[in-house]
Amino acid sequence: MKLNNLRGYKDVVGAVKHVPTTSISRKIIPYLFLLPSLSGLILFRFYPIILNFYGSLYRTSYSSQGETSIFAGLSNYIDLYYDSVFWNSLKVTFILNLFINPIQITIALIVALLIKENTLFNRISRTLFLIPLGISIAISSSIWKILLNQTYGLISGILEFLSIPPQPFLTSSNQAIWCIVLVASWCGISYWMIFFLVGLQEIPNELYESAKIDGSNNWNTFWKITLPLLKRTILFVTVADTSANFLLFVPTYMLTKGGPNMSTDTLMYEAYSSAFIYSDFRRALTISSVLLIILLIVIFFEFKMLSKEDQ
Amino acid sequence: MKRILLLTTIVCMFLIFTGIVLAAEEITFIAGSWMDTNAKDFKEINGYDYIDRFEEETGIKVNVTTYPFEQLFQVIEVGMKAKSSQCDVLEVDSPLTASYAVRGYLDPIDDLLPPEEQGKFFPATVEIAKWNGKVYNMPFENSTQFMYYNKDLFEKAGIPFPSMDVNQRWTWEKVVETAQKIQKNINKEGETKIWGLLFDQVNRPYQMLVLPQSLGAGSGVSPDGLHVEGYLNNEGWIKAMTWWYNVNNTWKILPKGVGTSETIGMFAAGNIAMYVGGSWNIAFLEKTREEGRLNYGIAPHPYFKDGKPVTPTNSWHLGINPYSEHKEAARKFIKYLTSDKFMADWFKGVKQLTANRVMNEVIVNSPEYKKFPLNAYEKITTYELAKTATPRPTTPLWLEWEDSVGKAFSDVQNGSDPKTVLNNYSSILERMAKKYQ
Repeated sequence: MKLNNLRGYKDVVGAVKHVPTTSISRKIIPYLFLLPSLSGLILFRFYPIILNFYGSLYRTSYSSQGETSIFAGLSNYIDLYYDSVFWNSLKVTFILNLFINPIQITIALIVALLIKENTLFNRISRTLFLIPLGISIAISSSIWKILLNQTYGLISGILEFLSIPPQPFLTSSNQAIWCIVLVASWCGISYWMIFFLVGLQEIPNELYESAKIDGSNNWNTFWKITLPLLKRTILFVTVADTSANFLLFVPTYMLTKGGPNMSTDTLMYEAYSSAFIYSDFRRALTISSVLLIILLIVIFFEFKMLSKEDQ
Repeated sequence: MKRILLLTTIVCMFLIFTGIVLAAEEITFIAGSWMDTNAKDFKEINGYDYIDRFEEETGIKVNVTTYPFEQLFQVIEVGMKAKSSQCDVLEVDSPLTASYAVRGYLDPIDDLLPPEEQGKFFPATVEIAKWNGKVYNMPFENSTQFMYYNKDLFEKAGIPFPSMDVNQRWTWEKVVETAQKIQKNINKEGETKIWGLLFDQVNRPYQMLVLPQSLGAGSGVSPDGLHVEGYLNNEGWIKAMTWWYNVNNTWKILPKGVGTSETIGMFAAGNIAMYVGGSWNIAFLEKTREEGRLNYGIAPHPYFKDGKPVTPTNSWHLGINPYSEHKEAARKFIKYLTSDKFMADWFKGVKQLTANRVMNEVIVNSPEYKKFPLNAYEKITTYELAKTATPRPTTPLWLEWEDSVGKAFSDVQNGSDPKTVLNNYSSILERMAKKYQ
């Protein structure tokens, strides 16, 4: 029976009756539906990860015949252990994530709370907040690079107008990392705000009304109703934002190239440099593997922490 | 009879087929995106398309695929790692010779540049094309640097112009003194709108390496190309880096945070008094002069008072993919591009210096090279390429070395201690060099 020939409830029931009901087919059918996305996941996610780990166990040797690969066990990981550049990159990655994730998540939540009501002003504000999402991060990084230039940038010009000396935003070891946080957050906050807006709209209005009748103020309502009911969204945003920021690359590449003084040299940028600047793919694969393990550990703890609070 | 007829038909078809295949031999030439503009300029001046001419002469079809500067390196890396036969001839940044050679990215081509033919090329171009005694690519283009200066700013500050004479070239000490004077005389108290000095490829080793080289500190790599400790952080390098630190942080005569692509624009806008840049900038600067936006002059590249004149050099060479299926055709194409006749036409049309000395003849015989600004080629370029041009180090570590040394110059520019920076990058590079040792 063709689906477009279905007429009303009886036809639908009739169609459902045609679905095989044996226990084997019941078990198989869900997997068949999952097969396309599962195969995509295996092909484009798990297979490259396995390939990445496998590649990190080999070493490249140079001879008159060119490059040859030799099995080296964990020696690439041991080299990394004694590599000061790697430890610096690890430190930079952790510092960046320690600040960028709470900043992005908190501001995104505050903005979502401020504009959740469906008023004209909020509708305009939502549109304005979504503008950064319409610009690719590569383009916005380029624009920010011009704005933050110490010699001819707009921000330096404004500071000069206010009798404040121009700041070495991108050329100072102390300021460059904050510029990366700023540019990544300018794009990131709008993105994560959308998830919070959806989460807030899922909370039944009746709960707020009854809290109001019971005399609860906005502060109490937020802590007692909004936040507990937003836990699932917060968990998702936290995990997704952490993953995104651990793998953050474009602002670093466009603004600072890991400098000055390696102050923005994240693991992701170091992996890129190893592969595409130094042509040392083995080191890049090893760094990527370590980055993946760290990310899994961090996400595991995030899950654990948020689900514990949920209980 | 039928059998004979059938056999004749098969033989004929075979001959036709092989004939078609031979006639349609095709090679791919991977190059930088500038080759598109160069091809247009070449055709405009010389009246013929260089690819069409080669195809007519040899029957070999050439596909030219071009990429922007940074992508070109990545395309070559990825293609060669995959042992791809997709390209046959590639444009090679000449300091990468050793790096590509140890990775097996280039086919040795000693027969294309036998010892008796090497004299036709400028010495630095031949030197950098070799690794372990073998020639890995054919010298094609070349480069040198001038010190451009803004005549209006010099006049405004009451300072006489530097001479075009190579024997009267300025020292870096005089450049600093002049830059300070110009900034002081022109800028208002407390603001810097006019800067004394700027480098074309600021912080890139191509441009900056001449600072330690001028002080006799070497090129930062051991003679075997496998070590940096003691070479990158020796006294001369520290002295050169300290000068660079002072230029940016003590004397403050150079604007910070300006990328390579922005420097020429700053000079053309009249914000820079002295601009140390490539000869290739003449075409753009001449346009701004004709439009009345910039009144500029040209002087030879400066040197340190306690050192010797040294100038940056080298450019793009041509190599053959070892995995190419059309090596013979690729050789013919390279031979055509580096022939005396073609090199002379290339220099006339593109105005890009050539590795072949034949460009000197064009300079001597063409009237346009007698007047400003092209007279700088006769008065400065020919001398620099023959006497002061010093190549970058020949090392398999070039990729790592270039990036790290660029970062070292950048860190010092941003206020880091020169000695600490050089020691830091020396130990990083020494670790990276292990894989080639």
